[in-house]
Amino acid sequence: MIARHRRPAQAGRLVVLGLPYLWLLAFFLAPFALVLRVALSQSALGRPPYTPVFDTLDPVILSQKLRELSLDAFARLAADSLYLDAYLGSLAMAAAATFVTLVLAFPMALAIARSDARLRPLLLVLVIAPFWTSALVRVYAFIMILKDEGLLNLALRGLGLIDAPLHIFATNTAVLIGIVYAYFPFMVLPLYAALDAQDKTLREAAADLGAAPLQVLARITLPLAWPGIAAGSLMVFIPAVGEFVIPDLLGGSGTLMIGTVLWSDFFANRDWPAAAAAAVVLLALLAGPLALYERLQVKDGALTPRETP
Amino acid sequence: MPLLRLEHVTKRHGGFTAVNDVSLTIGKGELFALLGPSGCGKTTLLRLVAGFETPDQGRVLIDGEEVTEVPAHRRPVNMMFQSYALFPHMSVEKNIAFGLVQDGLPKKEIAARVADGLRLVQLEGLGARRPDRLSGGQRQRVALARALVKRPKLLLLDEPLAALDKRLREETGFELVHLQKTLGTTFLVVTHDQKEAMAMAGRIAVMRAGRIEQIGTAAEIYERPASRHVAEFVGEINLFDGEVVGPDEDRRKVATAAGVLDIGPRARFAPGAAIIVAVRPERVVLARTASGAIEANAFPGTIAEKAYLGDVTLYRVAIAAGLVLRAARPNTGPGDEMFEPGDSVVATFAPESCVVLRA
Repeated sequence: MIARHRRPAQAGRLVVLGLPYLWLLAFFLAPFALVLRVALSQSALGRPPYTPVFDTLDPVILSQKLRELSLDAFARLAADSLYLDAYLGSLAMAAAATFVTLVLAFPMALAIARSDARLRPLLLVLVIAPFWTSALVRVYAFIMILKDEGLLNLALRGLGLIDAPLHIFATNTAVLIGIVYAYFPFMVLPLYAALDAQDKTLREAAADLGAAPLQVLARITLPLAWPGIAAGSLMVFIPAVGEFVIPDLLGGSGTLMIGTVLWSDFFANRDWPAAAAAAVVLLALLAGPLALYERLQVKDGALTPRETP
Repeated sequence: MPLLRLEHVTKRHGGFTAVNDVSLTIGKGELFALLGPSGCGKTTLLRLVAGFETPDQGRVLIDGEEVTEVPAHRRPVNMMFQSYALFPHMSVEKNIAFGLVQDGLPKKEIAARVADGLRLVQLEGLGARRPDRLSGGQRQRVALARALVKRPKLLLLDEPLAALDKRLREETGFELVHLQKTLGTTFLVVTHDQKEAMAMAGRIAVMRAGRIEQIGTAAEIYERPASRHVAEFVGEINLFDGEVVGPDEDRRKVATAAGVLDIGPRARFAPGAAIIVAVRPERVVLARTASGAIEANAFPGTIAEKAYLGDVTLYRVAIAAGLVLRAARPNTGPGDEMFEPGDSVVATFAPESCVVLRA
């Protein structure tokens, strides 16, 4: 009886658990295998601009081909300091952007979480509203704002705060501003979710025990918002490392980020293996913080606020 | 010298008046309970004392000092929350030390006081645990220790026993009383459970709709309730609406739906006054037949329902005019006389057992 009842339930579980795996297999693992294949190939003049390694499933040819596996592209990556600088530049830019976004987004998320419950949906929609227009258009808009004769300089000069225009456009500062702007909602939303879930009585208990509002923030609100801080930071940091559009449009000659290098390898130099290898290394770099986050989440079991009965 | 003094305190939430012109004085060392149904304003009153809310009108004084506008973190008062509100990201020790760290006490002093606190609530050895690794009873003790190590002038307890299971509730109640006596700290307890309030508190304020209906000892509130609401809220009671029909010598009689009741000599109720006669079930005497002399307040009827509860047996007696009279008989031993549903009985109660309330 029990066994007969269990079978359909188990089948259902397999489907439910299997679907996400299938999804990941089809839309993550398979494309990644294709990129890896290109990365392990020799570059060549022609169409496609590389000599495919795995273009057959015949085991004999395949095993023979495996011996032809080329780490050329990776070797070039290591040899050319441009790549290392670009990786470091990207990581530094992403880290700075993540920090600035966090500092700006936390007060906003806190303000939304503490606002009138009827007002909150509207405020959240306003946070997301910029997504309703194309990201490209919004980045272009920042050119208009930041360039020497742009809105920002006009306004500052009009107010008499500056005499000469600030050169922001085509600098790393402009890239930072662009990334912070573009990824702001990704930071606000997880922070809001974490702050909104906090039990108000914990803050009252802290105040009751003698904590002034700022101390309540430092000792209760901030530590308990940790899951949101971690999630938001990763959601900004990871895409920011690989960001291509913003440094390309707002950056200048001093801007070196792996996304733009990758792009020019792919389209300008037509060196597909090098571009693919750069992408694989980028992925490997980002897997580190992701794994760290996963571990923290497991440990968080004890950290997340739990309702007392 | 009163420790807590509320003067004409009123608090409105939107259009709803949660606390309505409440004045109250609690002396040093008292264990005082605010008792009432949910929504009666008792929790709001507690929050006004804690400083989480400020009154719209009136003053709050603690130990002679006005604190009406003083924020919670600067009041010499600590609270034990109904949900305990333990900090989930801190160990038991850190939770207890929170207020002491906040006060900037030296580390040695903090460690000593935390150890004292753990001993006080018998949680030695559990200091390193996280709150979510504790049982409900242990969490309650941590919350208590956390509030007490600050040595507040006044400890506020919001439904301190509500989240515990029944068995633990009684034991913990006694422990709280013992602790309060030992420490001499003034306790202000909020509860909706009349038994809890009666068991623990020296004085009780019964609240209803934002007002205090009666303040008194457990016995005063039970035996001489000041209003219909207090009579009904505190324990079981039989109520008869009626009208004083006149002096018979100096005795008073009351015409009710159940018949004419004799309430004994009560000169302050003039004939014609609309009143409520209240009788506790345990004051109702049941017998198979009317005993010799016909006494006053005797109602022949039939047992409608019986509930044997071990220490007492409760009966519902159907009397004339479709009314039901509740009676409780203590069980003293196997020889006790029991009535079964359907039995004919006569229910009587003495005139002096009646509590008379103004309608």
